[in-house]
Amino acid sequence: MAFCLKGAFAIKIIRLRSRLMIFLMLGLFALTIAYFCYSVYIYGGRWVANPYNPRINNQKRYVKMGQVMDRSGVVLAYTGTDGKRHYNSSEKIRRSVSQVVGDSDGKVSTGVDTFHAQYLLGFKTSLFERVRDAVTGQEQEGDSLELTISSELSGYITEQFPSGKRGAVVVMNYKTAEVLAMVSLPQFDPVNLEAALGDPEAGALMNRCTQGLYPPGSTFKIVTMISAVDHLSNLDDFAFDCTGYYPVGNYSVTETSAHGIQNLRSAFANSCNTTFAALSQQLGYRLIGDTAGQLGFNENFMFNDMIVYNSSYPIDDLSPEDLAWSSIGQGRVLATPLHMALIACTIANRGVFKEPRLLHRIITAGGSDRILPFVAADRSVITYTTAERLEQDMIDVVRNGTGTRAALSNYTVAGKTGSAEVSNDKSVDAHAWFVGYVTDSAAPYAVCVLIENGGSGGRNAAPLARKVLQKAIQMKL
Amino acid sequence: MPKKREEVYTGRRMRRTEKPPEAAGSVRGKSETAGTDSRGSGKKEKSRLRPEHMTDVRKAAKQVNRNPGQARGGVTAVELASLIRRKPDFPVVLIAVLTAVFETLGLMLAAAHTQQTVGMDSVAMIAVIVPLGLFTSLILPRFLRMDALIMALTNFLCGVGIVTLCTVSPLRGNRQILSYALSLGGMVIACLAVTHLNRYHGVTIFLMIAGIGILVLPLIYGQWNNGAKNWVSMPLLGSFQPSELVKISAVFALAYYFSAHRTLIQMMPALLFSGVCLLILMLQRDLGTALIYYLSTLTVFYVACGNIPLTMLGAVGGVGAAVMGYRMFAHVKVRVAMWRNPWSDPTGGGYQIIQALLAISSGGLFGMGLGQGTPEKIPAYYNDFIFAVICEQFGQIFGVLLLAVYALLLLRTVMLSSRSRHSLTMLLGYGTAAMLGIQTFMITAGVIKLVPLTGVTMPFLSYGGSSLLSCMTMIGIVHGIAGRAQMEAEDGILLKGGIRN
Repeated sequence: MAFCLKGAFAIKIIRLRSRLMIFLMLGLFALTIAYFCYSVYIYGGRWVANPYNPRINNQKRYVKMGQVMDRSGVVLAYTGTDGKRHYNSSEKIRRSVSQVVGDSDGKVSTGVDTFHAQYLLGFKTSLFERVRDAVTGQEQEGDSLELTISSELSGYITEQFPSGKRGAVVVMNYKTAEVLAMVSLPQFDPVNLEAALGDPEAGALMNRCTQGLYPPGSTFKIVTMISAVDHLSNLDDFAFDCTGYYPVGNYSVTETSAHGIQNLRSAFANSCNTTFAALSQQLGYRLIGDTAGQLGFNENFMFNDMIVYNSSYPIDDLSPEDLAWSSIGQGRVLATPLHMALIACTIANRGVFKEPRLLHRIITAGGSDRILPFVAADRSVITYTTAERLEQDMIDVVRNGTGTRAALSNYTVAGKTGSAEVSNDKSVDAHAWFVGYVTDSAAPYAVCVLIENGGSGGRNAAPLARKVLQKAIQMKL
Repeated sequence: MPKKREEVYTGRRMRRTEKPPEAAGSVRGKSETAGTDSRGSGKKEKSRLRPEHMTDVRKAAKQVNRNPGQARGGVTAVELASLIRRKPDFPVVLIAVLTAVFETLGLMLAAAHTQQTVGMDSVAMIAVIVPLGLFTSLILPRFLRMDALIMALTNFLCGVGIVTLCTVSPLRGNRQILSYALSLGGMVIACLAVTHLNRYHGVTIFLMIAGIGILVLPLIYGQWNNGAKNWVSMPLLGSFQPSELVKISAVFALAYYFSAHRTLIQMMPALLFSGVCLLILMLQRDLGTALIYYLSTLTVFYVACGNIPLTMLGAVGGVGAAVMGYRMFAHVKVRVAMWRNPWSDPTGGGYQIIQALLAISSGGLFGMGLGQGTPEKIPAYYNDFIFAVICEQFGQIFGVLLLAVYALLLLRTVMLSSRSRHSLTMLLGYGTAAMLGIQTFMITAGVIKLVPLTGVTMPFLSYGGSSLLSCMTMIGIVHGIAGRAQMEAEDGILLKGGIRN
């Protein structure tokens, strides 16, 4: 059974095969290097900021932590000569940016003080700078961060937010994708952290804008609507007679009052549940799921500037009634306020999804600017015409529909209200939502308001959104 | 003339003192008459093959082939000798000098950092390793026909390991320096043995028997340690890990039985040897090393006979064994689960890998600096996880560079061994490269969470005498192969004024 070649030819073949195998192995090495670079590039920052990283606390002993400022240079947090972390002198500002800035002990794991510790603690300081500091005997100091948020706008939102209510407000500039304000209530005072720690029930340490997963309610109809525009034909002929009742499977989707004959636009403006329940049965799980997926549902958000929890849209085709409920943002659909604001930005940008930014500038201890981390390239997730059509629909919501309270006098506002049921008990108020933006390019602001148990979105969330947008326009951010 | 050559070339090396078959004088006369030759003038004869131009016997051979008129016996034994005792290449000098500077500065910094007596010892150790590194990289290759580039790269890797160990764990660093000096001895012995051995049969049989002999020692005398029983403490010898040393036996067995004998039955001894080794390693629960043995055997088998169906059969068997291992051993299950998501148990099973990832990312591109950071938070930071420590201290770019150095080492090894004219040396070289390459890949990819973690050492870098000795001995084998190929080339020039490919 001689199955190997003999002689000089065999040697040549062995030579060839050994080279082949070694090139395969070099391929594995190349794969290792590629994966190494990829993982360090994508996850590196998150790993450094991880609460299990003992180096963060270690570094604090040697390095003076940098400042955190808002976009106009107001210092929100700094390290004093005593080595302790100090915060803005105004309690209002301290409280309204509390979750964004976080605390230096990592109690607020998504706060800038923890998540961007790699800058603040000088992990990004180059060898040259470190050697220079060592030679000149200067104390090592981390980078200072200028955030995109405005402390004034944040304070204003806190003031205007219905007192005693919990919730979240996100304001963004949709052209630059900068987050102008992220306010989450209840808030805490970093000077008196014990008070917040003593009341875990309130969840003051949590940033509801990025970590709060809520049923989006009728604001999710934006997604269903996009899916319908993309996938259904002769939409202009679409008509549905809303009787206030739509049976699906063993259950039925109900409406407080019958809307009568609805076309697509009026159904959207009136936020007609039965029409959208019927639409969902035509579209099915897969098509709505595709659109939702493109808009970031079920996606693992790996934003460079902040941690945003993943929104979810079920795609397991459980039952027709589950499909109907999820198409109107109830049931198992969950989204964060920031994600809903991003969807508004996407429509405002004619279907281009931009990664949100929180870092405005990174200033080294020497005073020069560091290059901001690269963000994912803008990607077109819905078509231009679909986005344009959606904008008209959303303008109609504010003009004639449920969102009239969000209208501004000199600007056109596009938006969508939502009242997400959170309990079968009718006495529990729904979560009030408003998602929208100013269409004028001179004031490119998008807003998302969520008031927990705030009642009707049109009645309670829309007026707050109007005030917030007005303030942002007034401030010329 | 060919007839005459056959008479002389008996497959063995000619003695240096022997003159080439043709009288040199007559040819030289010819060359002088052909005065139009490009460099005929000036220093006449010696200008033909000036050593500074001939950094390699290959180049010399090319030169000879280009001018066949001069070539016929144009190189005298004396001239050839001057060719062989060549000057080192510039890259080799550069790497060697950089390594020496790195080691000096690194060890001095380490001493300054620790400020202890053990740290002070490492300053004294500079006097040991820097001359050793320079000597082995620059001088020794001229006498032993070693490959200078491989030697320089190996010294660089060892230097990085030693400096890192001296900063994070000075005691271990100092022991590592001693192991390094010892391992260089092992390397020289292996190099000389491979260069001058003509009968491999006895050596292979001896290595196989001795290999099995020491591999069972941990089963008898060893202690369970981290879920494996692969260490043994012997009086006089100290504690060592036999599975590292038996790699040499495996490389020899595979190369010998897969090259000289051409039927499956005749290849059996090597396959049986591998099988027995695998079985013993499984009993010791040293699954990482078992995987290295298995994969090396499989690829050497493929390279030797190119029988794809049988290789596939072996691969399928391996996968089956892996699945069985997964089912049988709880700690394998944990390893796989922690590879898929270490964050599910960040303080327990996933602690080690998470700490490694945090260390790597905290280092940034250029590292936190020598002696900075907290590498000791990673369990096994000085052996299996030294790559993470190096990335933390020297930076991610340096980590990538290290992998590139390993890749270069492997490439050079196979290129050298494929110069050889015998399948045995070729397989010996390939087997060595496979062992080193697979081990490096397994641990590096494991540390960065590309594949499930297998507890094997990082060649040349990790703390551990057995590991370093085994790796350096394998490098010695490569040097030996290079030396053999060189000698064959020298013979070729001497005998026919050219080189046969």
